[in-house]
Amino acid sequence: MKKTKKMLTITLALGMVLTSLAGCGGGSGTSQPAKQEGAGGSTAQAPQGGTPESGGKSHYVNADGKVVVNWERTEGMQSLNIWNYTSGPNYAFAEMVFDSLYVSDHGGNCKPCICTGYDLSEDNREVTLHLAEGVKFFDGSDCDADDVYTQMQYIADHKDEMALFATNWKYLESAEKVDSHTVKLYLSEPFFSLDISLAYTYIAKAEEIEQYGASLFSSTKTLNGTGKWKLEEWVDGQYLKYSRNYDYWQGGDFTNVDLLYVWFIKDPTAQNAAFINGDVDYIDTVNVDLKSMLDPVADQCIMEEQVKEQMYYLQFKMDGKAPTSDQNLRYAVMHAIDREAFCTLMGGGTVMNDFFTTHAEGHQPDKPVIGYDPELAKEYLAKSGYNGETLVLLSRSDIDYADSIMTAMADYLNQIGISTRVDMVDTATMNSRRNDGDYDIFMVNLATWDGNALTQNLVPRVVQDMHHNGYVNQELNSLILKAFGDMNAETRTATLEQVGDMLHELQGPLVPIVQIVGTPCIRKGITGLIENPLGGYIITDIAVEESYLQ
Amino acid sequence: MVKFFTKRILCLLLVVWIVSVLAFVMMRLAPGDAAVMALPDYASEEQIALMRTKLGLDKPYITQYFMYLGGLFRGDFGTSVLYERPCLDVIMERLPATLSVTVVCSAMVLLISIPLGIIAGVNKGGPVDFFAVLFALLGQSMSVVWICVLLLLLCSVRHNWLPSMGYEGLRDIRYLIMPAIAMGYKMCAGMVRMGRSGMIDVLDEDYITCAYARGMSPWAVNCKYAFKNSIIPVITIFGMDVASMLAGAVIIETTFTIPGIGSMLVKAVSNRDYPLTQSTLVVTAAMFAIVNLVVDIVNALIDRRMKLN
Repeated sequence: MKKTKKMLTITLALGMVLTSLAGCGGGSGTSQPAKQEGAGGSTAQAPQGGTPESGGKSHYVNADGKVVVNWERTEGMQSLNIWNYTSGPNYAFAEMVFDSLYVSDHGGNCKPCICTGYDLSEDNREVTLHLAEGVKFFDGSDCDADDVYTQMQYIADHKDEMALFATNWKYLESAEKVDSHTVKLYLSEPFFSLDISLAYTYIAKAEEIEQYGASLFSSTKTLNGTGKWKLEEWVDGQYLKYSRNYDYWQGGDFTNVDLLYVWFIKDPTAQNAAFINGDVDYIDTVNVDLKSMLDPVADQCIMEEQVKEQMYYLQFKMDGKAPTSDQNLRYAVMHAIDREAFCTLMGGGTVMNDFFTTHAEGHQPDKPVIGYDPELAKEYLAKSGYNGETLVLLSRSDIDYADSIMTAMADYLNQIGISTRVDMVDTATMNSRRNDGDYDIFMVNLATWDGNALTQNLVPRVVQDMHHNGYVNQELNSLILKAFGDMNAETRTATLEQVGDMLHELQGPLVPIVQIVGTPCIRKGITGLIENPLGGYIITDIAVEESYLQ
Repeated sequence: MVKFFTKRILCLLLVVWIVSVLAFVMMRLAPGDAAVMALPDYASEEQIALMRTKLGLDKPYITQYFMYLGGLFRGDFGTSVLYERPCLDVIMERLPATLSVTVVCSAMVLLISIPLGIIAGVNKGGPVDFFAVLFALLGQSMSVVWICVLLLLLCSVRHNWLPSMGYEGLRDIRYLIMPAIAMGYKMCAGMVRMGRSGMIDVLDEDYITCAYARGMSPWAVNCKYAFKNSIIPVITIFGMDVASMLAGAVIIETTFTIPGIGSMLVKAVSNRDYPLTQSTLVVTAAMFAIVNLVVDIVNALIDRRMKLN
């Protein structure tokens, strides 16, 4: 009896622990959409692939007859806030659910959307926006001047609290509603990137902005956009589920896809496995070392290299005290490193000889090459005032291939007699050390948004010296600011070319090294993709070829 | 019994408080600034200052800590800078996935390791023992990353037995099998070794010889005396492992796309999301302490010498 009692107690104790854990485990409400909906993803339909050519079932039609596409992104999303976002997935989410005043292809081409066009006053400080008619929110209400005015005024009042608008609408002072389809903006300074700023201004509903303020974006329930897709569900760390907005104000037939899942998969092997299995129809960037894993499904996919508007760049400390303030030492560094080898290391890439990426204004493809030449590097080193100090090479550990590149770079520099120390740190430490100017050379990646190398690159990094390299060149700064305020593309480009010449001559404070190449993998049958110069595709118009839906 | 529970609960509270202090201090000591991380890297000094005020980072550390502690007492764990939502909501959204993997993994480990370890110990030198040693050796030698990749390639890519990604809680256990195996194999291997060596040691004891001398059958000796005495260290190790699993497993979560607490914690730490990091550590410390309490109770019930009081 006593023994039975004891055994029962033990069983009970174990049972309680397991039950409590199980109880917590089951109630999350999260789900794997493919299964829950009888084939949200394509796994349930055609686990081993099967295109019309191979005679299998469609990857894209689920048991309910709905067309479903499963997209993949490496980087996850943290917030639905379209006013204060800083990461790629958030931009992608914003452009799916919310229409903006203008729409951008992220390569420098903007075209009207909610705003059909604008007029500028003579001094370029008053902008009159003309708004489209018939724009509808998801709830069926009209999107008109009230909404645009409320949002623009909100931005003017709160821009310093919101990262995105602090940059894009730095000079916005106030807004005024003229009539139901006209809004006027008052700027403190003219700026050339007005179209881009309009393209990053996604319009929410006036009443909701007034009611919720910034917390408007705290849940999917309060999202009321005018965009092509509605966000049905966001499972943090897993996926976003979009459904087509059949009542889209420009017509709901922009696609034949009913449901679109965006999966966040970080591990490259898992990405490939999911593609092979049919769980996803797209891989954002195929890992170069794992490309062969996709060989068995090569007939089902399209893989093409994309040169991204992203670069890895070096920034030199140039405060007059650091060894790298010496131009000869910078030239020595640049001739000592083999950037072609970095490209090989990364499985692709383009060596950059000027500051501007391929699609950016001011890009000069024929700039003289500062190539790998150890002997020349030694000559420059001999001419420099370098005294054998250890140079601190700083980079972030979460950047792809950064550890390999930094190790190789240290090796190259050691070979010509420059002593180095590599510090690989996390993002927060990196930011802190850059703020303190605690580095000699650092390397990070940088994107050129919308072909504009001024707003987020040259102005903050060179003129404002946000990373405290200590270099001040009034001539260079005034050229950059001249370009920033110049509304004429031709003269602006000419000025940017002058800026490029100066930066090339200086080989500092910022020196791009490699433009990044990525290789997305798309399952055959997917169409309507717009190539995103920043990498990957814009998927607002994603569709599936009819022949793949049988 | 009441005294024991009161003492252990007070201990638990003490552990949680110490963890909250350590988490607070360590996060502040780490290089980096939460306000800078909350803004793009081109934010101006004014914007950073505004963000610091908004996050309450402009206040003295001691004030910040007591504000945080006061919040904890009121059940307010603060608002995540990264997610812009209450920390408790973020944690509670992530916790079920971690718990689900833990439950399945624990069940698997218990079912495999204890019988295998015990049988191997009893049949020392036999084929089962050889298999158990090999199993344990392999498990302890293989890296978790490699096991993950191997499972993916074998069970998902090659044979399509199991889904490669996703999570459905305990409603569909197929999504948890590979993560549980990947997480539990090493743990299982350790427990098999522990159980086996414990059993071998116990079987060499005088009281076992004495039991045989009294004419007891091997089955009765093994079950009544040997098993009971050899299982205690295994349960202790198991408790520690379960507690560690509750803190999340970043590699497993990343590979199998499981929205667990581990990957969230890493993200929170690397973004210097102070409230979320502190709250997650407090919650996991509490879970750790609770699991250890349960282990102590179970051990005391198994072995009379380990009285609760």
